[in-house]
Formats: sequence, structure tokens, C-alpha cells
Amino acid sequence: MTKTKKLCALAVPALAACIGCMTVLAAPAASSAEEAARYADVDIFAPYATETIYYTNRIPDHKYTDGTAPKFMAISGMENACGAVAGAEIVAFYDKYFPNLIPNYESFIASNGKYKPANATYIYPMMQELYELMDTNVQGEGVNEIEFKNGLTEYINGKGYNVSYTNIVSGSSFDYNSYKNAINNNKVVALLSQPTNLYLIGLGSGYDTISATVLDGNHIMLAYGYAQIKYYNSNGLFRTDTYLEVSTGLSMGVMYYKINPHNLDAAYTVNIS
Amino acid sequence: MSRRLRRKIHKWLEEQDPIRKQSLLESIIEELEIEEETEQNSTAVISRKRKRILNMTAALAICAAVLLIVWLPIALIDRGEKPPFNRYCLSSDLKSEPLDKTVKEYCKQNSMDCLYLNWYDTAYYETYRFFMKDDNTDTVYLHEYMMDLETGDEIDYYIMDRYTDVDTITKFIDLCSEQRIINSTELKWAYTQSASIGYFIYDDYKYILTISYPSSEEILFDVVEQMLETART
Repeated sequence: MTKTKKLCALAVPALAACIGCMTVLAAPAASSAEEAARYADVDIFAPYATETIYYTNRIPDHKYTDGTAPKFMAISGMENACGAVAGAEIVAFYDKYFPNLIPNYESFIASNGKYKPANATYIYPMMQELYELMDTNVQGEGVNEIEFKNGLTEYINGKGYNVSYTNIVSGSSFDYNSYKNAINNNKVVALLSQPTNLYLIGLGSGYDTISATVLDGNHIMLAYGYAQIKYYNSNGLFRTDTYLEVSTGLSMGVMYYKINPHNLDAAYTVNIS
Repeated sequence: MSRRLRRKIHKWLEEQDPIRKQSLLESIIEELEIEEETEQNSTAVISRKRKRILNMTAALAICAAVLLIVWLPIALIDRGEKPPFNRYCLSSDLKSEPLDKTVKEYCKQNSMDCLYLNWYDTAYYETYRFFMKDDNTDTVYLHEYMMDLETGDEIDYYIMDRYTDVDTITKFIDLCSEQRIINSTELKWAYTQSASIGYFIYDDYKYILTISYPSSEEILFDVVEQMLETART
């Protein structure tokens, strides 16, 4: 092979490799923040269909955190604010135990321990601050998981406290025992959910009526209780439904999130110290 | 009678030869019969045609009437159209805003003869107005949240005119399987896992209530009774 031909034989693959490298280097780096699911405003609708479960015996295991939990909604004009709303509920919940989280304000009613509704003086400004700390609507609509946690962490750290998060979801698995343990120890859990149903459980004489409302988008909400209901008939235990009691951040009242099966990307127990 | 037949008759009249005359006559009779048959057929055709036209016209008229009966209420029910036509609203079509006034104040300012829960001096409360996204002036319902400072009872009540339904609120109504009469007003109610819920209609408005984590079984009935009493004030 002549020298020229040898050079060409080496140059062509080298050139191809260079072009390949340049292509890779030139491509915009894939950002995990951009690819991760985002949580934003959702459409809700309630189909007429309900389910009736008849039973001869019904045994519920139902508990929620002390005083339940705050139930806020987004301020008018705050678009895609479910991260900030859930964050504000978390802050207001723990303010009972860590009073500097909302300075000069008691988030609960001393006589009965229940949480106060939102107000323009303390809660809405705090919610607005979380909205900005979470970079809501900056990288995309709403927030993703990292932005939600980072914004909430920054707020809590700014008040002189530490926070850690424990994810109790792994794929299709939900660690219900860890969840119950959190609730029993008065800790709340942030749910990062895919589109899902939420339920009302109507109590009849010898039957339950389950009514579903559809959340038509990814949404962050706060879980503060559990309800596991075992249904029995003449053949014994025929059904077990397991729910989380949630504050949705929407105008919906007390709703239940079913976890068998679940539609969660993550569920973080929030630990403040 | 055709011209040809007339000529034949004329020829028959003039014909002298009896055999030809007879033959002509037979031919005339034959042609007369044929003409008569043809006339009858064409009359029948015309009748059938007329009947078909009449039938089609009648069918079209019926279809138009049915369409009008079906379409007219739908067109008038459409979002934004005010009662007294029934309307069904989706939550996804609504927006909300907090009000800086109570339900009592809002209704008085807007000439709405609504009931309310007069806990303003002793409870926390928040009031919201829900309206059509594409028409800020079209108020679909009011929502007032109240928390009794002593008992911690949390009450959400929703007020809408009696012709309106909203999907996420109708689900409460659907669960109300029990009934009780309170001050001559029928209350439909039920317990859910964490709440008492109730529904009643008074004059032009519909009231839906949920009491989360009620402190007693009777609290719902007490609240409804108190609301009905505001009708007298």
C-alpha cells in the first residue's frame, strides 16, 4: 500500500471519529431538570359513576395527624402552584412544632389544635415566597421534584431548621408500614402524583358508596392520614381498600388517595429538625 | 281525447262501407280503452307523486320540529347562558377568587336572597366566588369555609341557583341517601368516612354542605337549622 493510501486509510476513520465527537459535544446536554415530570395545574372532573360495596361487616383502620392538616388553595393569579400550595401546607403543619417557620404567627387554634385556614397576612406571602424559591414555571410549567424539594428546603433552612426527605415509593411499591409510622408519629407526606382518581367514601347501612373525582394531570398534594378498610361477607374477607387521606390544594374537601394500586412518582416523608 | 282518435271518429262518421265502419268502430273502441287506461295510470302516478311529496314534506317538518325541541334548550343551556334553563358546569371551566366579604354581604350587594351561616363573629371564615373562565361576570357558585373556634368543626358550604349543577359538587349530592325535614325543608344527607354532608333547596337556591371531622352527629342538622333561620332576618 502506498504511503498516500495508508494515510487515507487512517485519516478517514479518524475524521469520522472527530465528526462523531463534535456531534456529541455540540448536542445540548440533557438536563435532568428538563426531563423530569412536572407538576402543575390540573383539570378535575367528576364522572357520575359510583361503586357500591355491600358487606356484612366492615372494619376501618383510620387515623390522621394531630389537628389534621392545613388545607390551602392557590392565590388567584398563581398559575401551576400546586408545589407552593403543598409546601405552604407542610410549613404551616410543622409551624405548630417549629414556631419560627412562620414568624409571629400560630398556624393552629390553641383551643382545639386544628389548623387555621389561609390568610393574606402570613400564609399567602409565605406561599408566594415558596412559589418563587421553587422556580415555578421557570424551566417549564409548574415544578419538578428537584425544584419542589430545593425550594422547600431553602425556605426551611432560611428559618433556621434542617429538613430531610424519605421516599417511601419504589416503582409500583408503596411502603405502607413506613407511611403509617410517619402519620402515627405526626409527620406529613408530600405526594408527587401522576394523573389519578381521588375518592369520597359514602357510608350507608351495609354498604359503602365510592365516588371518584379525576385529577387530569401531574399534581403535588399533602397526605396526613390513612384509612384501610376491610370488607367482609358470608365468605369472609373479600376486599381490602387502602387510602391516604389528603389535602389536595383544590376546592374539594377531604379526599382519599387509593394506593392499591398507586399512581405516585414519589412520596416524601418530611422530617424537620 | 287524442287528435288521432278524433280523426278516426270523424272517419267513422263519414265511412259508408259497413264493414270498414265496423272495423273502424272496433278500432276506436280499442283506442278509447287504451286512452282511458293511460289516463288512469298517469292520474295514479300523479297521485303517488303527490303522496310522496306530501310524505316527505311531513317527515321533514317532523324532523325539524324534533331538532328544534332538542336543539333549542341545548343552545340556551350552553355555558354562560343564565337560568332558568338547567346547566351543568365542569370544574375545569371555572376559576375562583377569594372575596373580601362574607356570603351575607355579597348576597346583599348582589340582591341574592340567600341563606348563610351566621358564625362571622365566632369563627374563622374564607369566602370564594367561582365563575366561568370565559365570563367573569357569570358567578356559578359561592363557597364559604368556616371553622368554629371552640369546637374546631370545619364547614364548607356551597350556594348555587337551583338550575345549576357542578360536577365536583354534584358528587356530594349523589351520596346523600338519607333525608330529614328541618323547618319544613327537606334535607338530604349522609355520612362519609370523614365528614357529614347535606343538601337542600330553599327558594331559588341550592345549598350543599360538608362538615369535616364533625364534633357530633347532630352538628349538620344544627347548622342547617341555623341557616334556615336567616331567611327570617
